[in-house]
Amino acid sequence: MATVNLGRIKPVFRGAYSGSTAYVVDDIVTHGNESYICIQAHGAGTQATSVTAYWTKLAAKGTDGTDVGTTITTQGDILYRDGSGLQRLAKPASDKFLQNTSGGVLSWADAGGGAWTFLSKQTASDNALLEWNSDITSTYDVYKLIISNAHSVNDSAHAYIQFRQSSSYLTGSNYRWAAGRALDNSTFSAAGSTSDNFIRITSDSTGNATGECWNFEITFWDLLGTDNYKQIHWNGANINQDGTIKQEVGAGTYTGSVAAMDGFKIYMSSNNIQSGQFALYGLKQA
Amino acid sequence: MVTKISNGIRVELTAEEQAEHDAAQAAAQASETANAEAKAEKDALKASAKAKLIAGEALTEAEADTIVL
Repeated sequence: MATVNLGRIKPVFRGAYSGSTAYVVDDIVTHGNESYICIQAHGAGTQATSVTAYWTKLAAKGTDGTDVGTTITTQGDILYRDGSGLQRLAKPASDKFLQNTSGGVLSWADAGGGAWTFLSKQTASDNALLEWNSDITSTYDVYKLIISNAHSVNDSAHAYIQFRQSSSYLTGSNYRWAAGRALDNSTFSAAGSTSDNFIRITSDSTGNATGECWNFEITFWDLLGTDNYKQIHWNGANINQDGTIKQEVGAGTYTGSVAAMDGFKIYMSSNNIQSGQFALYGLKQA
Repeated sequence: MVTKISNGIRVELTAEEQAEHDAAQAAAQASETANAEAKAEKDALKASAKAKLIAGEALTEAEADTIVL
């Protein structure tokens, strides 16, 4: 019986394209995540799949996708698109808000300005001094220290503040301060200094008898500025060694440098701070 | 043991910090002494000025300064 060669009656899948293999018409190969069918027989290594006289693309690959499961990895992460594709916006520290630019760039931002934010509280317990530096950051423009129910170990002691700059306390006589006090005997007096080694916040001394204590709120203005002598001002109540209640008001500054301050401390003229709550708040101006 | 509260943590002062603190308190004491002496001097002048006014005597300039704003 006569034999008639019909040629291939279906394509033959040959696996991944190899430069060392010869191909014939209707061979199908994969290459670069795409598939091709041979339209003209050729020898090994003579015609790559990109040569359209020998190969026709059967299926083109799509655009590479993003593996979401490996892109966002942490609870609180956000998936968003930037200029090149899907991206991870890693979860921020607490109390952050999402902000964007007109160009569609997303980032985390601090809470909007205009409100005092509690930063930390320190409780005195017969300590030589209390200091703050890790809370002084560019996040806030103004700080307020609320001192409540503070007691001095010694009678007739004063409370002082010194600034810290570049991790060292400023001890030179470049502090100036002015304070006034209204007393319960209907008198008012003032005190001050043009060259002290500190800012004295108690214009009159503090008492240490039972019940005698001092309460202050002290505002620190723009500690990180670089064109300003750093200033503080305060308002407080203080019972002195005679049992006299006084309203204390005042302001102080350091005029030795306009460089940024990175902290401050409070201490007594003698002995320690016996007790008291010292809470620090920060204000981001709107 | 002398301690401080640093950013909410109670720690012992180092020798260097202790020396710095002692110096700060010494400066404070010196300042308070100077202030007290200045106040005492002013109070004395004021008392003298008052006594001379009552007695109809002439005041020194320093005494007058204590009562003239």
